[in-house]
Amino acid sequence: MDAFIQGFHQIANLSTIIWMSIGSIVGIILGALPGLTATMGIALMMPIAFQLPTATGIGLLLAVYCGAVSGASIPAILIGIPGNPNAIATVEDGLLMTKKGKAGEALGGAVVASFIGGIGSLIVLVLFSPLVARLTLAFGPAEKTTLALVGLVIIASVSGKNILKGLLMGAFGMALAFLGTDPFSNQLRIPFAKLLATTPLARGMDLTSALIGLFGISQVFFELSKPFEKTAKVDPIKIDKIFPSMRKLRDMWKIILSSLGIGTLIGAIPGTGASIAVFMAYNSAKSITENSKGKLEPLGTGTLEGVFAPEVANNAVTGGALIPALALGIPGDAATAVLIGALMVKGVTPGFHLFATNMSLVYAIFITMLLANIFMALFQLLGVRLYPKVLSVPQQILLPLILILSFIGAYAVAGQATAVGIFNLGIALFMGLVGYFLKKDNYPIAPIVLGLILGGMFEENFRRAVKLAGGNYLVFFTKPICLLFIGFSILSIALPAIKQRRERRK
Amino acid sequence: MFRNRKPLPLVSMVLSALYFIYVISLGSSTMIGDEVGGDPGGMVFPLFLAIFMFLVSAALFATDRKDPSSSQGGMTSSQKRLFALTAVVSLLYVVLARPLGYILTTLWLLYILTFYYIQGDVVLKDLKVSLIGFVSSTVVMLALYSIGRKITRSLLLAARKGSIPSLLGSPSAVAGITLVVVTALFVALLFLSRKLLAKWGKSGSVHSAHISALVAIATTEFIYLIFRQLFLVELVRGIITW
Repeated sequence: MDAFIQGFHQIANLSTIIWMSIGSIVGIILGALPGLTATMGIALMMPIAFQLPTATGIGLLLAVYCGAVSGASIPAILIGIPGNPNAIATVEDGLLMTKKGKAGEALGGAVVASFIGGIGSLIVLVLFSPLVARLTLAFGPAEKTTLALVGLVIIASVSGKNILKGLLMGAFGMALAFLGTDPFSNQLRIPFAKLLATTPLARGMDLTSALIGLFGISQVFFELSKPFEKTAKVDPIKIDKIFPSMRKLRDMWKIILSSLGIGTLIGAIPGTGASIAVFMAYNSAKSITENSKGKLEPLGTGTLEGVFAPEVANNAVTGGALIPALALGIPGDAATAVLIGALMVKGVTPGFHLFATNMSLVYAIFITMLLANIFMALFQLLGVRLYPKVLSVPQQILLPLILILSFIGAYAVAGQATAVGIFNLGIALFMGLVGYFLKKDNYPIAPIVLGLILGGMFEENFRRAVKLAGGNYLVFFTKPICLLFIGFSILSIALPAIKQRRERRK
Repeated sequence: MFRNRKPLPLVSMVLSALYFIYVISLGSSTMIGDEVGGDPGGMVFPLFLAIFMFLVSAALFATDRKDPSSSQGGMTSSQKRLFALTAVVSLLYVVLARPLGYILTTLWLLYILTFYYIQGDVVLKDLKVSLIGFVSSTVVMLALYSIGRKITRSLLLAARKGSIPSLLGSPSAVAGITLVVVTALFVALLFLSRKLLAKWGKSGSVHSAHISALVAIATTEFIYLIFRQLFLVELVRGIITW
């Protein structure tokens, strides 16, 4: 109880409320703008979060995360273009509802659904993350090595169409993580050591700058490689009814529960993400409506059921993805990977240690997650007439703003150290260009982030495990938990590979 | 034979090979105090990684081929020019940020990119208008920045002397007051510039220069107030020393 009160004290201040409100609005706007993702929003906000107290900073990032996931439904409903892949399944019924003159009901329904999804998955997060974290008590260096391997392999194997590309990107991220000094011997491990020994690179690749480059700057270059999108023309919307009736909500309880379950579960599986969850929830809702004996309207005809299912699921993913992120340090998706990066930049290492030694911060994170969902619903409902206007901001103005915010973000992490800040600008630009060329060739970016985050953990625990086993490399095959993780890793590579081969044969 | 192969796996193969050579050249370093032995050393894992990356890159080189239909959707020459402009301006931003300072480099980056993005191409005929906008936005920015600095300094000094309540001298209050005054000035400038432009007529490039200048000035000042005055981040001053 003391920890809870301490956690509450960490966020019970005006600064947290103001920053979370800003984060929520920024998240909704970013989510509503096609092409801009929640991950990019979190990466861009990281430097601001860095300047704030830990709980407030994490609250800001969570507000951006929840806002962006939910905000993606706005263009999906109004113009049939999802703000990001999270809202891809909302398009069909959302757009049909707008065409029927029910845009207000669809937008309002999406907000209510997102809120239910967010809060539902938060309850699961609060109940299960301490239990999962407790499991890691049984983990020694060998188990931690294989756990990092699982995180890396899963995200690499499912984040792109080509497993090899995902694995290569994971390895590339790890290679970047090894830059700097050897953690055990302090030996410099950077190329051109004589030249770079006095630069900030000697302390390793700056995670924030790398993330900003990979998700912010690369996106600017990527958008430039395509013709500028014409600003969406949103017809004046008739918004009279926003909230779905209680009776309708009661009728949809099966859809809500199944979407919540699917979203939370899929979110908790590293590497899967909301774009898978929304389709599964939509399909599940389809079968529920078919068996409802006319109580529910069929999906695909412009019904609230078709908006509710994916919107509950995509926000349920946020809480689900935080379970492995907080309890194991293994992110559920790219956005939580960046969140873990932010925690690590703040000196907080997720995992059992966090739960055992800093439970007040864990509670503060839970409370900020609750606030993030409340703010998301509040600001989205308040601005239901306003956000469609965001869609008319032209890309020609948006892209330079993203570029400069990325640069300033990379610079600002250094605080008072201007030389380090300038070096970070270079890192961000370099990673941005690297990210652009990779994206252009359909290489997934998320595994690089995972490699950067888990690379250090992997190497340190690998060396510790082998050292403790007296130099025996087979130590990883002698422990049941390690074998389980290794088996899991092999399966996560083999199954998509088999699936791909089958599809190719077809 | 290699015509339909993608270049990225080949680049990755070369980099992996170089990484392998580099790791070998570094040699292995063991844990401090590893007299008993058992530490695999710092070379093992990077070496494994280099080999793994080389093999995966080789496999990708062999299997990942160019899609003939994708070559049709390449960049147009105007897109290529905008892309190159962005890369060059970004690089110049990184190089010049320290000697010239945050205010000028940020303003110029934003102005140049917004102007040419709105124009949709980098062409010589826009140069004159873009230069006029460039110079005017710099003058206005410096004036706005100087006023903001003056307000900030006066508030801080007054709070230190005790002539105003100390609360008004806190970084957030100072940033807030400066933001309000600067925003008011900016809004006045917006109306004034609109009226002036209405008199001169609105050609496409003049309109672009106007929008770009406003976006660049507002963004540069806003970021300055948030990061420098609220978060106390040391944004490089460069030649703007006041």
